[in-house]
This record gives sequence, C-alpha cells and structure tokens, in this order.
Amino acid sequence: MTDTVKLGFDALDGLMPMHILVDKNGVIIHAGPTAARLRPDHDLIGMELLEVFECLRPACDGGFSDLRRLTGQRLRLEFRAPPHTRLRGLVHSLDGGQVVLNLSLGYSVVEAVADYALTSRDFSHCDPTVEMLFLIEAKSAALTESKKLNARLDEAREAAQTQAETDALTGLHNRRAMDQLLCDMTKSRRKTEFGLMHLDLDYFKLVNDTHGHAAGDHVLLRVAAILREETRSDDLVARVGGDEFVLIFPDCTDVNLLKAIAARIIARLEEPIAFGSEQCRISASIGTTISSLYSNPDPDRMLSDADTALYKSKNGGRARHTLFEGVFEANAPAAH
Amino acid sequence: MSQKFEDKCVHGLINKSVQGFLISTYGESLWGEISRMADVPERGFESMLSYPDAMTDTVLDAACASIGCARASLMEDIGIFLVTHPDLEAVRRLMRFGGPTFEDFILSLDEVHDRACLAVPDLTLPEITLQETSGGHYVITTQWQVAGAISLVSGVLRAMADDYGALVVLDVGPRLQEGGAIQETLSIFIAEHEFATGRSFLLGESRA
Repeated sequence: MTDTVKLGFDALDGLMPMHILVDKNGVIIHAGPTAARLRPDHDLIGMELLEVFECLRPACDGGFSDLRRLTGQRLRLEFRAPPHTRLRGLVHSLDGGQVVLNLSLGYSVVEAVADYALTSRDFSHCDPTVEMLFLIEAKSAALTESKKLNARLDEAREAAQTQAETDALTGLHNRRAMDQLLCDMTKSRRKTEFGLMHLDLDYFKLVNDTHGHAAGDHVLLRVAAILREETRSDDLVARVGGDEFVLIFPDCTDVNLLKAIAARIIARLEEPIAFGSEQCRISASIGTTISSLYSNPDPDRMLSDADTALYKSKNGGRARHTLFEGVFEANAPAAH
Repeated sequence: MSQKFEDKCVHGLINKSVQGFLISTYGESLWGEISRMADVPERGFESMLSYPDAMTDTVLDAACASIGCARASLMEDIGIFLVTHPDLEAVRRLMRFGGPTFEDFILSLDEVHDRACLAVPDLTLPEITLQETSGGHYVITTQWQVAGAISLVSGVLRAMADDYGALVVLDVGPRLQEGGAIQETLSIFIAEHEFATGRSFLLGESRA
C-alpha cells in the first residue's frame, strides 16, 4: 500500500472528464475534456476559478482560501457568464497547494447537453448521465402515452355518462338526467327558478293498437323532435315513461309564456303524423308548476303537483294544459 | 427460464406498434379486417395496457394471412418501421442511446430488455443474449413468448445500421421452443463501420 499514486493528466481526463485543476493561487491551469467543452479555452485556462464560477452553496465570501477548505463537501456552483449552467462540485486539495474540482451537471443535465451539444463520448463510461438522459426521454414518451390513455378514458367515461342519461329510442334525456337537473336546481348553492311541465300523450295507446309498435316508435320520434323544436337548448326534455315526458324550463316562471308554449306544443302534436300510408293522430295533456310557488322547492313535491295538474287536464277532456295553482286537493272531484 | 414467460402478457406498446405498422403500411380497412379476425378490442390496442399473448399471435397470423407473407418477413418489416417511421422518432432516439457507434450499439443489445423495464416496468421486450464469435462477428439469441422476435430484432438492426451508416450482414438461424419461451438466433457481421453517412444523433435534441 502506498499513500500516494501518480496520476497523469490523461488519467485524470479519462477518469474525470469534467474536472478543473487549479494552482495554489486559485488560477485554472487545466480542464478535463468535457469541462473544456463548457467554455472556450480563453475563458477557462489562466482565469481565476472564482471569476469563472460563483459558489452558491456554501457561500465562499473569502474567495479561494474559503473554497479550498470545503474539501469533500457538496458544492453548488454556477457559471458567472451565460449560459449560467448550475453544476455540482467536489473539491480536493493536492500536495503543493493545487486544488482539483470535479464537476457534474446535476439537474441541469437536460439543458446542458443541449446548450453545449454534448455527446455520449463526453461522459465517463461510469457516469450514469447518458442512462439518465435515456430514462428521461423514455419516461416522457411513456408519460405521453399514458396521458393519451387518460384522455381516451375520460372521453369514454363522458360518453358512458351521456348514454346513462339518454333515452335510447328518442335520444331525449331520461329520468336520471331529469332527477339530476332538478336536484341541481333546488339543492345546490346555485338555485335556479324554473318551470316544470309534465306531459302525457293522448290516444297514443290507440296508435300502438291500430298501427303497431313500429308506428308507435315513429310517433315517439316525431314527438321528441317537436318537443326539441318548441324548447330552448338549455331547457331539458326528458322521456320519463312510455308516453310521458317532463320538460324543465330554467329561469322561466312566466305563467303566460309557459301557457303559450304548452298550447303550441299541443297544437303541433295534434298535426297528423304520417306513417307509411297511415295517418297517426295524437294529442297531449299537460300539467305545469313553477318553482316560485314554493318557498323551498322540492323536486318530488313539484313533480307530484305537476302530475296533479296533468290529471286535471286529463279529467277535463284531454288535449289541454293546466297550471297548478296550489288549490286542488289530491281527491278533489274533477272541476269542469 | 421458460417458467417466467408463462404468465406474461404482451404489453400494449408492442401490440400498438403492430397495429400502427399495419395501419400505416396497409391501411385502416385491412387493419379493421385483421382486428375483427383476432378479436381485438373495438377501439384498437391501448399502449399502456397489457393483452394476452395469444391475441398478439392471432393478430400476427391474421396479418400474415391477409397480406400473404411469412411471420418472419412481417416481423422484420415491423422492426424497420419502428426505427424509421417519422412518428416514432422517439424509438430511434432511445435506440441511439445504445452507444456512439454501431458496434457499441450491438454490444448494448443485451441491456435493451433491462433498460426498457427501467422506463416501463411491465414492458417485456425480447431478452437478448450476445456472443462475440470473432472480430466483427456476433451471434445474438432472443428469448420471447411470441415467435419471430429475432426477425423483429433483425429489422431493427438493419434500420439502425443505416442510421449509424454501418454496413452489416445479418443471417437468421433456426428456432427452438422451450416451454413458453421461443429461442431464436441471428448472426451479425459488421462489414464496415463507416460505410455511409449516418443520421445525426445529439443527446440534447429531443423534442419530446
């Protein structure tokens, strides 16, 4: 065992391509091949080490004499001139007062390989920098793929949700979507006033019985189209039963307007619907209530009240609209 | 050795590459036919999921039947596609991390499997063992659960030789089956290291 070994510059360069050798006065006398790629020669050799680098941590306010005392410590350095690449450093004092500073790129590796056009030959075979770059690229490619998968899953989830809230035959909303909207408008902090119509087709069973189910489906599609046409895009039209529909009109409690809409819907539904050579005739009974009638609107209560009004329309001879006025009793005889 | 292949699945990245190759080379409609024949999920493969081995085999068989080619030539084409298609520049770059020369790259082949696992832990690429037989002559052996790995590697090597500008002679040897693992060999002769100007590769030019 010897206490010292002789290392030539070629050995130093090979083992530590990013080292810098400094004389006892702190002047750079040699740079390893990769360190030399970071600065032009005249900005390195013959310069004072602390003119080229700033030692960020630990602070070296006392200059080179401070730095040489930091043997073995983790140093954070930065080039004083741009590009201000941050480096990891480790110093060791040599016999004769020389100091060797070994550098690594640390977290600036991605920027630095681009800034200085470094290649795999610039790193020692024992330095995992190239493997690290490989991993960074591979992980970022994998992450890109994962993000794409997430986006597609999100899309699929949204499609499934839409499907779960849609009536398969007519493409209108279903009861689930209606429940959700009523809940949002009455329970959430963003309470909204709204009008609620319960619509039941008249004579629909007759269409099914005389012309068959295909005709019935055809009529339902036509009804859906009319209901969509007669409402705004923000209104909700839901098919909640075979021939039952609920219409919700957010921000609309204008009784006269709702009456006019109901009348127009009934008029349009009464236009004969052609199915092949047959003409199908239906109409509709409608019951309406509005949220402003209630101090604390409750979806079940309002649906039930709209239903009460609807049955008043049915009992009144069908093909008409009734506004719930909070006066009928559940068992009240049909007033005519 | 064979034991560990039994419960493995083929990673979506591999299946998606096969799908990408078939669509870009032969078109969507042929892919539609193949994917129906092989019962591939309707939206195609997802790169970050895994699929049963048998599905990959069925897709490859269906593709060979539709195109009218042998498994080996299909796999070789896929290998070339992976390295040369502009959309897959990331793959070429990751390959070039193997080393600064084509020979370094060849010498890094037995690390490919582990390197891939480091990036995507459940990605099981073919396991490659490398043997130098004489100067410039190498024999590699692949071990994988899908037949044709050696032709895939051979396609990749052909394209990578072009990328480095080297001239290489490749020769696929016989196939051995041992349990679930299929062993195949390839002999490589690097005739010239700098036969042509290769494509450039800088560590710091990734635009991922």
